[in-house]
Amino acid sequence: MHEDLFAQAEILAKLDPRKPKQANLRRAISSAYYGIFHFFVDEACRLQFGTQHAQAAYRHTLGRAFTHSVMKQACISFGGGTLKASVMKGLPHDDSGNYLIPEAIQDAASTFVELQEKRSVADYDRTERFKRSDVLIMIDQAKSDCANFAELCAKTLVIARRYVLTS
Amino acid sequence: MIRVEVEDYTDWDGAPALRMLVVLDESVDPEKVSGEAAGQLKSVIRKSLRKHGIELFPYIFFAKPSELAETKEE
Repeated sequence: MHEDLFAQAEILAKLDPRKPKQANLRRAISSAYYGIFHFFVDEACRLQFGTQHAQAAYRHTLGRAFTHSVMKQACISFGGGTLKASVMKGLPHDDSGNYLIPEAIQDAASTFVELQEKRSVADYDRTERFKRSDVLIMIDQAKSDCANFAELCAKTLVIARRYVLTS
Repeated sequence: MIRVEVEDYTDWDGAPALRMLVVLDESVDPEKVSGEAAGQLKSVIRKSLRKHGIELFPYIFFAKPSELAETKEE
C-alpha cells in the first residue's frame, strides 16, 4: 500500500502547475506520511507473522496495534544513531561503547519523525503555508528511505528486525 | 542552496526542537532534486548538530525565494 500512497502524494503535489492549492499540498504530505507509516508497520508485521497470503489477516490485525507516538519515540532514538544504555546492554558495541545504527535505518527513522510532524501541521495548523518544493522533496526522500531500508532488510535481517520490533 | 535559517521550535507533541529553512536557488527544479540527496543533506545537518552537543531534533524545510515571497504576499 505504501507505494500507492506515495504515488497519490506525488499526484496531489503536482496539481495546479502555476499556484498549488494548500489543500492539495497538505493532503500530499499526509499521504506521504501514511506511506512511510504503513511501510514500517507492514515490515514489522511481515517479520512477526511471515509474508504468506494465508497470514494476511494476522498481519492486518497486528498492524492496528501500532501507535504513532510510540513509533515516533522509537524513531527519534534510532534516528539519533545509537541506542539508550538500557537497551544497548548485552548487544555488541564498538570501542566507544556505542551500538551503531546503520545509516539506512537512521535516515528512514528521521524521515518518519519529520513527516509525522509535517502531517500534524498539515492537518491542523491553518497558519502554516506549505511550499511545493518542500512537499515534492519530502515525498521523494520518503520513497528513497523506504527503498534503502528494504534493501538493508534483505541484506542484514537481524538489525532491521531489531528496529521494526522495537518500533 | 542560497542560505539556511534556523529558529527555535516546539513540535506538535510539545517537545523543544529546531525549525530549519533551506532556501534553494530559484533555478532549482524541485522535481529534479533527488530524495537521496536531500536526505544526505539532512543527515549531515543532524550529525553536525549532535557533534556540537545539540540534541534537539531539526525539522528541515525547503523553499525557493519565489515561494517565500508568495507567502509574504498572502
